[in-house]
Amino acid sequence: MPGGSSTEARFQTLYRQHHDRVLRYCMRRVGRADAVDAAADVFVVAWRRIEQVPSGDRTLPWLYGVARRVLSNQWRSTRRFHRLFQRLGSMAREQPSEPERVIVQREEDEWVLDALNRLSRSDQEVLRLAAWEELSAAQIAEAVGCSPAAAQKRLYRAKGRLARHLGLKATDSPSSTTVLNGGGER
Amino acid sequence: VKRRDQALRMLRNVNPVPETMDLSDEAASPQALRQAFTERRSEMQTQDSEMQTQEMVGERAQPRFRRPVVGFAVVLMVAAVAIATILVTRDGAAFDAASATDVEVVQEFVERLNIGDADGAVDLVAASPANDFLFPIQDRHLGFEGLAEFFEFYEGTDGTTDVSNCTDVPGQVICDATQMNALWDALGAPAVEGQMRFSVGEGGIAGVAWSLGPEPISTSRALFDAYKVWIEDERPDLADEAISGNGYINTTGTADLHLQLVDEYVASR
Repeated sequence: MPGGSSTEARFQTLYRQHHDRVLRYCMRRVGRADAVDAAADVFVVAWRRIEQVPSGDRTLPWLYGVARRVLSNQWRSTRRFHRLFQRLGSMAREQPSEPERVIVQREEDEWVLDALNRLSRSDQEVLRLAAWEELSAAQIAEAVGCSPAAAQKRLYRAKGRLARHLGLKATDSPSSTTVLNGGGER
Repeated sequence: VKRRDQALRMLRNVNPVPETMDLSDEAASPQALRQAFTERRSEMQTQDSEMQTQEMVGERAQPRFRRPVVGFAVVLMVAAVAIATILVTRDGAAFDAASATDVEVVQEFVERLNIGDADGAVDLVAASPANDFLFPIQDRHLGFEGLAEFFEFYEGTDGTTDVSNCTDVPGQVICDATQMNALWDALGAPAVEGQMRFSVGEGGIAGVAWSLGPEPISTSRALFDAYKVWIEDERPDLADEAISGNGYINTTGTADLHLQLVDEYVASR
């Protein structure tokens, strides 16, 4: 259990510096009310583990990593509740809000977000961290718990897949053909 | 790269909660948060005490393999630190193709392909790449643009290549190689195993040829032929886009197309 005035001062600084960003992170992924709860849970975890919170540039990605897990837990428990509700024969009027569901205000936004939602969850997360949280590959690595090289690779591939889903083409270069496992001339 | 950057810019533009949005009403004070946490802890507090069972009374028996296990763990840790150090050192240094040996150029090329760095891989290709490049490729000279498209296909299908035992002979580097991708995996095709022969000259890698055993080829050929027939029967509208002659069409877009088609195909069987 943390204690002491220096610990408390550190926590207060942490909270002041990063709360809004953590809250924005959550609001980009769930509804406003859930986001406020999730952000509070993130700082409860930070308070409990204050000795383990890294300093400097690694702090915010670390908090994002906690937020990701908090939202996942929230999502799982909402789904469990929803399934139980259905088994009990009640008519659930609303689907649980998905973590990645966001309010779409313009048609072109919907188009881009549709393309995003067609990707795997891990692709979506690294893209959001890069585009919305504006993290570098090294910071993404901290947030998702992988090496910087792996984060760079994931981001590169995820951007490519998003571009393909958006129908963006680099060139109209001639196509090439290959035969499975080398069945052609060599 | 421009295509990728454009995609990321488009995503950035649809940020639903921009940094400028005022959130001052949403924040609880840190003191209130901490207070709530403390109260919750005290409500949930339980008291644990250790109760000794019969087995725990007296001197605990020493496990027979304790010392060897500890020793092995130490060796593993030292090896892990050494590998991490090598990787960090290697990542930190920029690759200098001019001063690298041919084997190093080949290994760097394969590594760039495997991390999805198509542009970086093209940088190591000679000015006039041969027809027969990387995978056995039919029909036409690819040129740089076509080659980049082909590398995009490789990336889009999660292609991976492992090379080992590379030997340097004049003008060529010959490696034992294994290659696989998500498309072949979905079809149930075995990994390509054999030797890759890289032609390496002053300007970089000029061509790649494979030497393969007959068995994996015939198995894969049969799987591909069945898949091709299914596309022609069930998705004739996409056949021209997806396959040509008796091979896949390799472009940026066809990687995703094939992965979708092969899902349908596998589900239909």
